Amino acid sequence: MIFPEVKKLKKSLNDSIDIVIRELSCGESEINIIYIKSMINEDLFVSGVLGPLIDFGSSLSEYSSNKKFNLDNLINEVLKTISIEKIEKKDALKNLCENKVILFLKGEKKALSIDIVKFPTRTPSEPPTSAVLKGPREGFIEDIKTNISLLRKRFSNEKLVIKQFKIGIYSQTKIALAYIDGIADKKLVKQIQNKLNQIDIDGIIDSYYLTSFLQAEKGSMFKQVGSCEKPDIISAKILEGRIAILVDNTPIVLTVPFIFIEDLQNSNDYYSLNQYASYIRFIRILGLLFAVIIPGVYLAIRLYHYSIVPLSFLITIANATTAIPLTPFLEIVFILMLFEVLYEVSLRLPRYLGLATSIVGALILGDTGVKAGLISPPGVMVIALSIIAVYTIPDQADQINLLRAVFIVLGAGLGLFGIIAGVIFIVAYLNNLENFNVAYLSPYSPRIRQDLKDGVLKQNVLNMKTRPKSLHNKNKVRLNDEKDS
Amino acid sequence: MKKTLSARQLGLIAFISILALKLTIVPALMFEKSGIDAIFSVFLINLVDFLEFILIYHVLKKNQNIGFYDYLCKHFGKFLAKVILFLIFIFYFLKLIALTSGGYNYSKQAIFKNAPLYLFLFILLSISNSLYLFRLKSYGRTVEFTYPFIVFMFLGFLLIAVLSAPLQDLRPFFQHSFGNILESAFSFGLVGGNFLFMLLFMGKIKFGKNSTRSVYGHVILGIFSLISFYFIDYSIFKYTAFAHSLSISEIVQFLPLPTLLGSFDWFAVSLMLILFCFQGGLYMFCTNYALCGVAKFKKTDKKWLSHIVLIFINILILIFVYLIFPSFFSMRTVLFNQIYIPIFCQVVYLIPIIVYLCQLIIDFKNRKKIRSGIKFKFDSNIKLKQRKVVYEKDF
Repeated sequence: MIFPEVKKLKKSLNDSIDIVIRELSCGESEINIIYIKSMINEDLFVSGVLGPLIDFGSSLSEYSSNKKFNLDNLINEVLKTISIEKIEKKDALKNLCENKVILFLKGEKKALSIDIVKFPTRTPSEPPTSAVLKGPREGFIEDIKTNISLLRKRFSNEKLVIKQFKIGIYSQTKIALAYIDGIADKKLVKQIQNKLNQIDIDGIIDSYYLTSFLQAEKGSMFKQVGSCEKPDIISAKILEGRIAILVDNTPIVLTVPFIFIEDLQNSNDYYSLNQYASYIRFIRILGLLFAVIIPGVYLAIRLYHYSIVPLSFLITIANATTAIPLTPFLEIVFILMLFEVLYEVSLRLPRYLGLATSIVGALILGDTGVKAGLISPPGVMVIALSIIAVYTIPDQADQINLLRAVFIVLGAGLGLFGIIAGVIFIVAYLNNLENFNVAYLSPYSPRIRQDLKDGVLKQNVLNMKTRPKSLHNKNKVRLNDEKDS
Repeated sequence: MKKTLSARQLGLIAFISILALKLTIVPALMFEKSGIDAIFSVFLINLVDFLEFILIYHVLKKNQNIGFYDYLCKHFGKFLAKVILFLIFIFYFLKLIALTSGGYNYSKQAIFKNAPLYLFLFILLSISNSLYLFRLKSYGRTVEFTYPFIVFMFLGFLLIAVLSAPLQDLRPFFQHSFGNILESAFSFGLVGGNFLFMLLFMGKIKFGKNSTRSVYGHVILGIFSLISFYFIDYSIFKYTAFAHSLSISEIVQFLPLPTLLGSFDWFAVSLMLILFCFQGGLYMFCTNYALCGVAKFKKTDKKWLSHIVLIFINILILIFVYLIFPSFFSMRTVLFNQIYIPIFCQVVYLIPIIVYLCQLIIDFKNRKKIRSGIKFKFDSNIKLKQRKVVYEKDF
């Protein structure tokens, strides 16, 4: 017989097809089990719940004189699963929505909630956005439990704290806050907890949803929350005193506070020679400059300041551009649009079609455009260089692409002075940006000498004896000299 | 009082305040007045500036928790405070006008061949206003961020110039009378008074352990590199230096550099444009702070008040640049050749001296008060010979 409360539960879930009710008789008692078929581990259900219950029922009818039992007997003697919880019947719906198995025993005021959730997940693999030559190749996946275990694996210490939240009226997305007690600033932890608790949204689909709630300047185009897919990087950031925010159903883990220099750093830097890491970081800065201002500078020079170009260069550019019917500004905009369209298309098309498109776009359109005299080779080169250079700092790709467009307009409209004023404006704006009391451009402005050791010029780990001062962490000592010697 | 600038940032701003127009128009103008001896005029201006800096820095360190307006009101009364601030406002406003007009003249000759004035004004005012609106903290940090590039460019430029330029012997000096040197230094009064801005930042600076060393270091580096620049400029052009009004850009063209760096000019041009932006921002801060004080706007934190002042200053600049000084030559004639501007500047130069003297009196009074307030307390447990005098200061 199905209990009325179980019927009510099923009705609450609109009689969905994957809601299953099992009725069992154990001795003189009756049991109802309700669960969502698609969300449980069926093997575990059979071996840990159903099987033991059936065995228990038959043993009761054969041998026992006392054929009565209660929920505590089931928890302690019968059910063979790890996570069992006694709940009020009114909480059954909530637990069922969390994909747990709910067990009702006739005559009992409470019910059992058994956690044997299983849904399709992938195994941790190297994230496509942060491939490494050396170092760990693990990446976070879409399951928060696995992600937490990837973090826990790296900290065999009681100081690692993981706090859970549920955000989203409909999605009830699990969110975990990870930090090290004694290193992370408690005020910061409290601030983040408050911010998370204040979120009242219908659903959190991806961690990106949270970034808007966590950043100080809401409308800013500059990211103020770090993001990463690699557990080794997140662990290193946690050790520096940052707080990681893991969100269920996404492999992207957020970290706060965030400073700009973080995106210039790469996990490869920490697994290779310091000198080489410094060199590569310098190249990344150059890449950033190329990506943002080179098209604007090219336009400024062509339109206003041709006199500052060395004569040999000037002749080459003049020869290549004299027959172009478009103005320099329109030419650059045209090439940029062409590249952006090709980029969008190649992202969305299936891989084999994307390859064909890039051949058609880059080779045929570009080459034919140049040969037809519509666009000039220097223009194509400048835009190509700028677009490729974006991926020296892929995490800032969106911002760089937008800034490039701004600098093209500045270069064309106001020349070199406009570009210099634009750069100063952006630096001043970034200097004005503070999230969780951390200056965005630290350790360069304000200059924090200790933190420069992991700046553009990276030093040996032996020299990095203290944690970043800019983060206001509690325990400053990272490397103990006495023990080391 | 909220500390928004570190002492290091103050030093860097001081370094930047020394440069800009002094690298482009002023060398030629000064040479026109006193020939080769202009180098001594520059030295004199900077010496006075440095002495004033010492006075100002002393006052700043003594008053770390009070703003300049409040300080003036406390020790001079409201009326005198407003008079002093008004003088500072006029001084920095004239500097801003000189920067706008001189900067435009430089840009037009060096890079923008046919650029209209409004284009230059639009950029300079936009960035100066933005730097002001981002507040002092952001300005200090931005200067700090850009400083390595500026120093690299400027000192690199000086080094290349010294190593590769055909320098000529500047002697014989003193072809004109010493009075001529003094007169030249006096005429270019508007070029000096670089460190006056520090007074306006009183109470906003966080002094630390090595602050004095850091600030003095940057100021001395700035003055030293500026004098070196003049020395190089006059050594290269010697008797024709008056004709090379672009100075820094024209020096570059005289350097025998490889073909690839043949148009090394962009290096100098970029440096100058960066300096124009920062000085524009600094002068905007100074005019604004001073005028807010004059207009009884005690707290510039009240955004709308400071915004009104900002708009007013912008309008004033446009009026001056378009109606009163429509050309660089008219600006140059009025600001550097009329007698009343240098006299006005000398009056402004007196402000740090007055403030310093006032500070000395305050210090003296405080010391007197401390001495009179000391009570002697004897520890009765110790024998008379070993008796320790315990000072109890009751202030």
